[in-house]
Amino acid sequence: MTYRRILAIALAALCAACGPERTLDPDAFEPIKIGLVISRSGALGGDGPGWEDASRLAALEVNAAGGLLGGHPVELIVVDDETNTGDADFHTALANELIGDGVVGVVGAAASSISLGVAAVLTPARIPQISCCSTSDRVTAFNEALAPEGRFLFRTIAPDSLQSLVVALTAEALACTNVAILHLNDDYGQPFGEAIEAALRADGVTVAIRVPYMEGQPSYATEVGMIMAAAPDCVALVAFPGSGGTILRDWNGAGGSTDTTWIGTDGIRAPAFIEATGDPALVRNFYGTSPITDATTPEYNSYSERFRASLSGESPIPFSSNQYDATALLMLAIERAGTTDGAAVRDALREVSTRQSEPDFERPGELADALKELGRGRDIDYQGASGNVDFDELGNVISPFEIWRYDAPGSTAMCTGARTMLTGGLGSFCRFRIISPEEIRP
Amino acid sequence: MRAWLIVIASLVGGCGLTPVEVDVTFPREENFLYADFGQLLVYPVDPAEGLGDCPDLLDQVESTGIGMPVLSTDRLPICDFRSGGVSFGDVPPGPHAYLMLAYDDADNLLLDGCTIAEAYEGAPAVEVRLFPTSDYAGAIAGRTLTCGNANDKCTAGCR
Repeated sequence: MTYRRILAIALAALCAACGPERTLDPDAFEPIKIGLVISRSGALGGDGPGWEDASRLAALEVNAAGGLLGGHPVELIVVDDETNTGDADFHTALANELIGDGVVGVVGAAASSISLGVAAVLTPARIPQISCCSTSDRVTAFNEALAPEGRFLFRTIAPDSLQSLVVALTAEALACTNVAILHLNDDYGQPFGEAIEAALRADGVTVAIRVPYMEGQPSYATEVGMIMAAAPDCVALVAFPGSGGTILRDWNGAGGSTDTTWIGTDGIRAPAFIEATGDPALVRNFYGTSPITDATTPEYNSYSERFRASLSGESPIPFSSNQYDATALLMLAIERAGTTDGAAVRDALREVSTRQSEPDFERPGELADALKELGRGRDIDYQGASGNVDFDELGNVISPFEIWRYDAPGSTAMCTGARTMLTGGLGSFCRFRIISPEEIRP
Repeated sequence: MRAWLIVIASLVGGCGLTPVEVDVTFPREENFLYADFGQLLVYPVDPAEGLGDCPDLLDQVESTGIGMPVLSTDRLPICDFRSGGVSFGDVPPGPHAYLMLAYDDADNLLLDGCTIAEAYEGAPAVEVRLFPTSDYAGAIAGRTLTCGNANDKCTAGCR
């Protein structure tokens, strides 16, 4: 071997050994996984993708700012709950799938039954969970049954215990004297229907009949027949979009009175409900109640603007802001806690959502600023797109409500409040009146 | 013989530098269409400080300028940052903040993003995810895109 050849081999070896070695822990930039329980199919399947987008937006914002806990990107792990509200084994499987995937927190579900079913696994596993849309009072009861240190379930939507009072206020405003109640028989609809009955009776309004029904049936002719037989002047309807549409079709098909006034709730203030009727003209004299999820606040406007800029170009759907806030708060809590430990994140959720000493107020679109403040050890009080989202000791928030009215395409009805135009020629929802928390519970 | 020694010395002197490929992702295609130029900056970070430098760096760049990066591209046509991204041939070892800025032709900062990553032999490509700045909506208001998609923008030169 020549001297030159030995030198060449030595040089090659030197070059091969030359590259710098990794110095940080291999896990240093591993993603932090957040689970999403989304209704990609079933009765809420029309809205699920829009809510998923809201979470994606919050994750995009945080990842563009360098991620959490020093460079960990956020990864969303999505499972489809199929809006399957009745199968507890399925809910358990969803939760276990997310735990198996290594999530450190969960956003979802929308339907109360599913949120509670998933929480039955996540809470004992000490994994924080925030629902955008589960308004059932059973969520409150779930937490009340636990010691404070055992509570891991939160929501960014006001509970039905308040909304049922707004339904009664609405019935009063619409001069209803004899009200029938038709409601889902699940964790959302059953306690809500019962609470509406109690609120109406407390206001001296006659309750003609209260009829529970099961989601996912091809026809509700029997239940509709029971309501028609009671001859109410108003019907309070607690439904999901799919079943709500079927009920209206059955009502019209059975010759139900066109003079009857309907009072829906948050579950059907959605384009999917109008679509499900098959004909917007069937939706007559239709009012409803809902927590306000698209307030004309700077926070909501900023959120809506960023949503359009970063995602589909479309405006966010109802409850999108609640989903965004849930995701944002979970990520901010992880940063605040400085760890993904469930109990620490749970405690931090209250700290970042409520006023602490000398807080900086952070808003949608300002998650990078919020992370910066938290990194400096400062307090923040996140002001959400959906409201101030201050979690109480039971994981609840309080928000204003609206009375809405559906206006079919071509309607000339005046709307003095905000009007939400529905795409596809489906008409609009008019914000008929705003009800503050103080009006509900003076 | 002397030439060989010079080659070896220069290689040893360059030891520790490593190439790094950077992939830039835009939230949606429309964001890319509105952008005209991009600049990628690399800043050293101190692992002892916790690797949480990105929010401060983004704040600094938006308010006081790009400061003192250890590496930087020129302000390049945004199409140069598409598909395959860009790469630096000589990143010093250790963790760095990779900060990407995307501007329109009126010099409005439309999007930015930052990622912390370590440069080492065999490291995966660094992914920098962009997000619209607070100036984005105002900057694009009234603008009409003539490009239907990113391919048209980068091949036909439409805007």
